[in-house]
Amino acid sequence: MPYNAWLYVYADPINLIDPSGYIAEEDAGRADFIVKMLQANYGVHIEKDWGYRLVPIDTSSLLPFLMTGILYGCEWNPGKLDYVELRTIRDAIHDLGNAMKGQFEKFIGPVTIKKAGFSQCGSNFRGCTEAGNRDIVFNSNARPPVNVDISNTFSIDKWSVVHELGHAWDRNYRWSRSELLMAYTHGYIESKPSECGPFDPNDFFGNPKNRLPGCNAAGYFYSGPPPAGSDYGFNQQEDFAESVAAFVYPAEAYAKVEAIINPMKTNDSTLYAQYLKNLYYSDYTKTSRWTFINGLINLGAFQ
Amino acid sequence: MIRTTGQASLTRKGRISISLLALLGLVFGLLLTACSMSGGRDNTYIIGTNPPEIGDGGFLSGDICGPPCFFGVIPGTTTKTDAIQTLQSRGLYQGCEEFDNTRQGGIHAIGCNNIVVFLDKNTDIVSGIGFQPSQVITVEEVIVKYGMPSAVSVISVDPSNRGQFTVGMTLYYENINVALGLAEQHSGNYKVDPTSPIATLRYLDNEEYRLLLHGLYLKHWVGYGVYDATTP
Repeated sequence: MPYNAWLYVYADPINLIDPSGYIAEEDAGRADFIVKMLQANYGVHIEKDWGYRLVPIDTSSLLPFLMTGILYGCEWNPGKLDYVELRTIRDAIHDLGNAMKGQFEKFIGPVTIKKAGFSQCGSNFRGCTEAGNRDIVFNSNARPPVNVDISNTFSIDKWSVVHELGHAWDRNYRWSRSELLMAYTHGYIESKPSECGPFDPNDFFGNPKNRLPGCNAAGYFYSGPPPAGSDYGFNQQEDFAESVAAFVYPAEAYAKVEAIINPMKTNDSTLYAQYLKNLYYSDYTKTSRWTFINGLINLGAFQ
Repeated sequence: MIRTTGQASLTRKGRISISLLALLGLVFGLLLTACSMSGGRDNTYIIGTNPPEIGDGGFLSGDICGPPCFFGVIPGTTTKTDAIQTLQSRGLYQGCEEFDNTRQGGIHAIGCNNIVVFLDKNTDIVSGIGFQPSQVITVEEVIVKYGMPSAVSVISVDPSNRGQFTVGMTLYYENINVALGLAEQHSGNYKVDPTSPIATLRYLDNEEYRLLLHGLYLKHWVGYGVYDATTP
């Protein structure tokens, strides 16, 4: 949307929220407050990409005697993060902070959250967690700051924010949390069994067997029902991140499981029973994954 | 001459006996054939090479019985043993495996080809039955028979957070304790129209149905169209 001060905000005059996304000039004060609050209370740094910026002014219409140098004007830059997304991030961090009972900074460590283009994470990941800069390998032992990069064109929801913060937690402990979860739940990694069938990496939904244990890219044989389903990208780190999100939002986790037990149309008559056997539960708080995360937070396990 | 007559008489008796034997043989043969055809069909089902003929499971047709009764299996009433016998007698007990994942938070059930029998954790009473129909059931047919759903849920799933969404929609009928799962879609919302097919059906007892709905993000059915997926 081209910049227009009136249209930019007053197209949605009730909520004063820019309808196209991004942070309107009038929201800047409230947005800045959220940024300061998250930094002060949780050690979370939101990379601000909104604010005023200098832009060169077109001087061609001015009188020649004024054209003695370059003139600059001031323009509002709405950035990539919109105000609703910022509030979603705030609420998700608050929910996770409550679940962690004052141990957020201890577990997660310093975190920077920003919104960037696809190139930041590679592919079209919804969000990704990586080291402090592009030069650090994803699976390195480097220490924080951890960067939670919400790089997507999809709307950010609280589940996805907590999921990424789960990765940041794992990252802060050199990926040991996910290894421990795998051991605790008796999962393991082996080469994919042949009965998984073919897989097209560009089509996550081409082979419904990819949701079954071991039938993912990592050869991860998860054990016990995962928090909210499984797909070809599922591995022990995704399992941990999902387990954290499900710990904070157990009802949502259950709802997600409800949504995936309806298999795609398939000629495999055994798949329905396999889905229910491997993926289904009726109460997340009774699963081994909930017990594990609860142990980390409330019992001080594996410190 | 009499001998001749006698010979002739003997010949006639012999013809009658041969005819009777042939007739008896034919009847016996037919009986054998019928028995072997019947036995053969059952044997084939038991081996499990043919898909079970679930049809609509009685959901629309009421064939054998209608929900919450599935071919004589009634959640909340039927025992595990009786359920197995009933499914066996109808050739539906194929590729079955009992599993109990309750220690890890999962379920106790018997999973068969296209059918799952949910079992109560303590009593071995059937608490629910889920199945995939072998004939197409559309949303329109369901609404014509049972009216509008009492509630629906629409949830998106993206386990690796990669923007690879699966969206599932379920229709709930409170008066008959039934949940109908629609075939999954892959976008940020769910589009349902009269021809949308039902992928799975679950008949539940009162307790299972209550647990099923507990904590779900339910919406009102507002007709055909696009439903946004719910997120926290």
